[in-house]
Amino acid sequence: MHKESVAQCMRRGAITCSEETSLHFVAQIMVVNRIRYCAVLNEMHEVKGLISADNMINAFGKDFDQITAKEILNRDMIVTVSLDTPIEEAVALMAKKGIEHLIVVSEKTGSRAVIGMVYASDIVSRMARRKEQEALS
Amino acid sequence: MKICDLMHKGVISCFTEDSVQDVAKMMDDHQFRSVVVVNERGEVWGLITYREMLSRYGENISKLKARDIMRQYRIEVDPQWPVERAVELMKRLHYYHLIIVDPHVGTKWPVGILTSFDVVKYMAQLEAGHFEQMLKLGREDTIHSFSPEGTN
Repeated sequence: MHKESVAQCMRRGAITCSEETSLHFVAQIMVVNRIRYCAVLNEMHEVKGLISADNMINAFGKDFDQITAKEILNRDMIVTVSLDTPIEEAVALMAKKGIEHLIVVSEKTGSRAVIGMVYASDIVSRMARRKEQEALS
Repeated sequence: MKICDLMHKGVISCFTEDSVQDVAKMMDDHQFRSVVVVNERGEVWGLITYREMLSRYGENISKLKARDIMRQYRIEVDPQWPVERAVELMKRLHYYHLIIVDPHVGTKWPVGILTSFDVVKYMAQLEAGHFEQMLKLGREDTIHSFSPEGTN
């Protein structure tokens, strides 16, 4: 059987903000788009870090109109894979690092530009549907 | 602001003997990140989140039981607490899903769940009118949309 790669389970495109975006606006981006992760890009469109709902709460109680994305972004959470990484390898990486997302970067262009993201929700729905697919085939 | 104003009311729950396959299906159908595991009396016993599911990828999950993979859960959170106290608890314990239990009955019955995303919703201070907000956000040029060459 053909081995499946990240390309089959990722979502193309990523929802991002700039380093200067205020946390209030980041919170709005997350809520409106119903996502828990927002990638922070610099002017060159390179990923500088990631803000998750979990590290947003560290700023709770402060004036989050004054705090910019740059101040709370998490650099450790940038874990990247390429389009042809096998899914098993990608999931093992997520489980090992204890994260629920992966950033997919382009190897071809050499610029390491973000192509998309892999979310744990998509992996879990694959797990849920696997049995049905096996029964059908 | 109290927890009960912010929390997600009602939980998706499963029993300790349910198969992990069913739990995965529950998560997928309801688009929930966490399933509360309850014992036969309906008391909170543990919690299964995406994180627990991911470490079982590739295994035969229809053979596994919810109790094999769940994380023990022993925190009791009252719906009448202020949100600040819940956030403090999240930060200290690194638990980003708090199960809210009913304080009026003797048993630990789950009545709701408070996640970090609910707190972010509160921080966003978006008023009613979801679509107006989306339009407003769409006009701002802070959201970049791009597609690198050669990827499509």
